[in-house]
Amino acid sequence: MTPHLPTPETPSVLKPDIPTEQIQAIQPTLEPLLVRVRSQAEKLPRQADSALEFFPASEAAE
Amino acid sequence: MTILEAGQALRSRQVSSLELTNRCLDQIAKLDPQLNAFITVTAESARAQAQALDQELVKGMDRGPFHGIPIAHKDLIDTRGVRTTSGSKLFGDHVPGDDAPIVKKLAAAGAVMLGKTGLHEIAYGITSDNPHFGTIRNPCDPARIPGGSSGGSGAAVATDMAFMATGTDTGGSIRIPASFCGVAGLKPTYGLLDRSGIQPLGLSLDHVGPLARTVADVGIALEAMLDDTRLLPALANCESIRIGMPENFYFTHVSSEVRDAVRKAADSAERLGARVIPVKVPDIDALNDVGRIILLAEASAVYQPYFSRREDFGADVLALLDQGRMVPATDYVNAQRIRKMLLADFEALFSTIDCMFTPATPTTAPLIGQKQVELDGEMMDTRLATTRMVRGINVLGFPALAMPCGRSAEGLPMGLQVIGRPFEEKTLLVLGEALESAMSPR
Repeated sequence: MTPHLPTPETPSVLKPDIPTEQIQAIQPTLEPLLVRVRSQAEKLPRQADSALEFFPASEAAE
Repeated sequence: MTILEAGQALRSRQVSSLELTNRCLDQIAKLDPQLNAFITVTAESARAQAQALDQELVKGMDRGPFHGIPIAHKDLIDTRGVRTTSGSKLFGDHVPGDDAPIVKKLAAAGAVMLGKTGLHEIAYGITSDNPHFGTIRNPCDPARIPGGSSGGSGAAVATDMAFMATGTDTGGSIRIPASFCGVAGLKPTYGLLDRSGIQPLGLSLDHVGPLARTVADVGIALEAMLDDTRLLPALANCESIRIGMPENFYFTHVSSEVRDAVRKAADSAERLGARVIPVKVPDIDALNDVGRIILLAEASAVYQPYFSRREDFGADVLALLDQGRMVPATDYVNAQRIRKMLLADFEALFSTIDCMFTPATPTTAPLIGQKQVELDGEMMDTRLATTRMVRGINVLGFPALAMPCGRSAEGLPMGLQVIGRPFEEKTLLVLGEALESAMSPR
């Protein structure tokens, strides 16, 4: 079976439909933020952690 | 008049719920054309509710402290048969078929609903300058913002248009309007109050809570909104409370008036017998960064179904939603992991103190349209400066009370933030009430 590939008329879900000028406008805000968070992420332990517990305070008190 | 005072007057038959409701409706008619605190006013149903509650009191049925008290709900909280817009064009015609659980709880406690208060579009911002429903203005100076996103709730409570109003807080949206409008507001512990029936924004950061004129009234509202008994008892009195005073972060990039007002509040607490302890606070800048990444990604996930309707969003909200779409999933996951690591640091700090004093906002209310504020000689983005003290506490999920701590030379309110340990809201309320009496800022 031939895999379905997006045609030029079908927008790819891999590319968000955000206008280029908007991307340029938000880049100076978002990029430094991502850089700082990635730098914090270097401190994360290499061993397994329970990464996605969204309810830290509730859990802490129970 | 506070909820406590109104309750006493109702029970001694000095006033009826209908009279209280009419007074609030008169205030709305008089002030709201300028302040724009309400999106919807439900005057007729409010009067009918009030009359029914008066009849109950006559018959000896007393539902408790909220019996017959007029309140308002932020317009992203579902109210059966009453339009609930979230301050958005997307939901301009949304009429819920049911009340949110907290609306039901407050109604069961005897509250009279006056209407729905305005907000920053989809609760994603701090100005409440709403492109679809108009600009909400600060009652202390209509040229200024009331704060947000619960700006209508703050303005309504500050001007006696309602005794209490509900708010939501994802990165300061209860505490910022409380600070700028000169009222009290509580962001409870994450998960303490039921958020169902409320339009989400940051799924792991959203909280719902009350704004009222006094800390005592906020306490009454919290009791009425609670749906479980997880709250821990308050420390007996102020003498047993240890207050952390940050040596770092919280007193830099803050106006000198706000800095002095918070320090005076700590002095007042010390005179009440509390122990004030200097503390070094863990990395709040990292906590704020993590909070921004998490909110950007979560808000965009919530609004993904509406991305094709770009023209239906205001420019500021659309820019944030677009930013969220550009946050890689890897960074979101790592932000949640860093969150956990930082939480451990803050839990260690809060094992040595019962609460911490900080400014709620670094300045008084900025002017409408003001893009930047000057702090310590540096120009800062108004939104980032205003959320600097409060955003991180949503990441931790700790409870935080905002309350007035004085007025600036210009007569604008300044807010104190008291941050506590999870489920220890009662300690914050005991201390806040004592401080309120001692400082008499109102």
